[in-house]
Amino acid sequence: MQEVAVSRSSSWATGGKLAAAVVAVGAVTAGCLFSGVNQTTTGFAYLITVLFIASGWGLTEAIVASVTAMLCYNFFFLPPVGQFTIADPQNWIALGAFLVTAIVASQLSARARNQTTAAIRRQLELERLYALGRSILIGAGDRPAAVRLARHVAQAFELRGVALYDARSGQVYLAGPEDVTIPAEILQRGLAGELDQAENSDCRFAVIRLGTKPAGVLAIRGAVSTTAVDAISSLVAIGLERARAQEIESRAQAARQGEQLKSTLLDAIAHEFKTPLTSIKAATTTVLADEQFTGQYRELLSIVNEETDRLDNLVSDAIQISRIEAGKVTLHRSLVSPNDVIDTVITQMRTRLEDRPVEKNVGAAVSDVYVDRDLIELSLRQLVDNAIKHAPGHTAIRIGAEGRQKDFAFWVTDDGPGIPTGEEEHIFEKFYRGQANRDAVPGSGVGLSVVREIARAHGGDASVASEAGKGSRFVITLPLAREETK
Amino acid sequence: MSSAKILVVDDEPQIRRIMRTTMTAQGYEVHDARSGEEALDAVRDQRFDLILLDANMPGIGGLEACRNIRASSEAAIIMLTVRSAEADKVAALDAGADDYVTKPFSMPELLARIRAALRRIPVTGDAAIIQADDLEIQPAARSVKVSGREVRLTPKEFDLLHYLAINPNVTIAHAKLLQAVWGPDYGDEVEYLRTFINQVRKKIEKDPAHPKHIITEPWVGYKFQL
Repeated sequence: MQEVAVSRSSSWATGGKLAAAVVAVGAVTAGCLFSGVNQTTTGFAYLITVLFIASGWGLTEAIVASVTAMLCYNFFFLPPVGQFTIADPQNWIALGAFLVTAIVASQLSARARNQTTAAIRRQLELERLYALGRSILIGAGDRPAAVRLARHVAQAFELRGVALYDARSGQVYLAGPEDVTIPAEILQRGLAGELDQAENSDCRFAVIRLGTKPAGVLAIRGAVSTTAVDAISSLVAIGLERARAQEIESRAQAARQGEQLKSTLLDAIAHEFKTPLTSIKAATTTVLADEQFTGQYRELLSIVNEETDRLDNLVSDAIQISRIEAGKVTLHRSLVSPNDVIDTVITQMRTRLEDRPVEKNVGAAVSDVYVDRDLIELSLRQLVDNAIKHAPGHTAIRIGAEGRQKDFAFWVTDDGPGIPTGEEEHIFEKFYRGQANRDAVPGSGVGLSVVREIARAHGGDASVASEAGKGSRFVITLPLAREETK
Repeated sequence: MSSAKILVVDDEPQIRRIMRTTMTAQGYEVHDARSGEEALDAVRDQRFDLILLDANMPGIGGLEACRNIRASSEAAIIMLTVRSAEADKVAALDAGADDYVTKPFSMPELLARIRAALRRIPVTGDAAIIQADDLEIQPAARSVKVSGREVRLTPKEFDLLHYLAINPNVTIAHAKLLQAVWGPDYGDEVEYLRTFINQVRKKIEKDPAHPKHIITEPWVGYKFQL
């Protein structure tokens, strides 16, 4: 409705201007007739009038005015006066020159005016694009980015309707007073990368690309130039890209914070456990030190004592693991005998191992290594624990150490089912649990990732070699640290 | 020796209870304090032979309490803490503790540590005054003078310096030194020596960074230069 009213009012304006042009020429004619000026002066007066009309209103009005002026000039001033005929051929030339001048002048001024209008329109579009860019870059909120983008586009360009299809969410977001639909065919071809821009009776469509990949389609209803549509679609692409990056970043941050919170909590809880453990340990060992307790009492108290140690080790491991998971590995290196480390681990795991055979295999020529003893013991405990969980109860677990040319290796092997091909790397990922026995074997999927973290903190790595049905060999390789010679 | 007076400082009532029971049974005279602040008050009022100090307490905390006690008291100090990292041990020793026990501990081990901390190397036969340049050691009075000025050493610091000084010009291995000064259960705690030697050097050397009296033999031990 609005559009019809606008066009009617503009046609009224055009008609009015044409009439005014004719009236102006008439007025000049009358003026010249009554003042009795000569032919030449009259000709210039007409010319000036036509020029004014041309520069003020437009080409059509100027042509109408110049034809009217020519007719009046001919009728009222060129002999024979009072007729539309011309006696002197010179006057034909004068009349022709007059008409040509009027038309050329009108065209020039009309072109200048059109250029000004276009320049103003371009400036306006630029200002709107700038405003859109600003609101995209500054804007942030809890609503999806696409909703905000569509609204910003509609507002900045005072559009009648905007529709933005976001390929990631698969939804269309609308903005502006009128609802716009994107035809399925355009959507499909746009997302397939077959077209960049399209147009139908009332809308323009542009494909939003992130890099070269289509990420959505924008539909616009309202007066916008093709170049502006291009610019808008790239701004919208930037906006989508930015929102996506922000989303990823905030998700990563939330994950980091969650991890840290978890490890802080675990750390605090573990420290709380240590206090009662201290009382139990002190009390038990005091009584055990008393020779008068013998036989079953000594045996029972020994169990309490051993289990206190075990609980203490579990709590210590939990503290260590939570710190490592939070990325807080600090090494306290010292010169350590690999043989002692393995003995300690086997002793600590004794109850867990029960009567399962354990073979220790440390090369005779193995020299001391410069490592964090607590952490290496922790990783070996994790590996032995892993072997206990996965290998059948009667099979042997072998644990050993060997010095090699450039590095040093601790290893743990078992006769378990092995690791399916393709899972060798995944099992070191945090929370990953083997496909086959996910439900059959208890665990959190943290142990092996911690083993790798510890090895990497030492500048080494953890790996596994496995043969299905025959068993696995886990190896922690550590570089021969230069500090050793210090 | 078993009549020694011990102050147990821990914010945890159960731990104070166990310490009191066990150590009283061992013949020690036991007092306790619930915080670092209370411990400082207690040390101001009476003399203790040994202080068992928990490292993690609300308030001024174990390390700070240890430094304050050490400033005015020559009592042996054993720190109790849940951490076992090397850096924490060094921090405890730097704060002036003589020894360090990680919670949870077995009581026989703690008692052994207490005996070691209370142990003084008896001044036997040769109690002659040792003179090395500006340094003067009087074993009988357990006193040390630098350029005629008395310096205060803790009992363990004195024993360490004295032991090195009565075996001059010989490098004494870490383990041997630890066993001589702390007791037969010790031998691996090289960080104790590092810290204590540093403390002694600060007190007796003109330039602790370039010591003249106590010389380090890397990876081996220490030597008193006479």
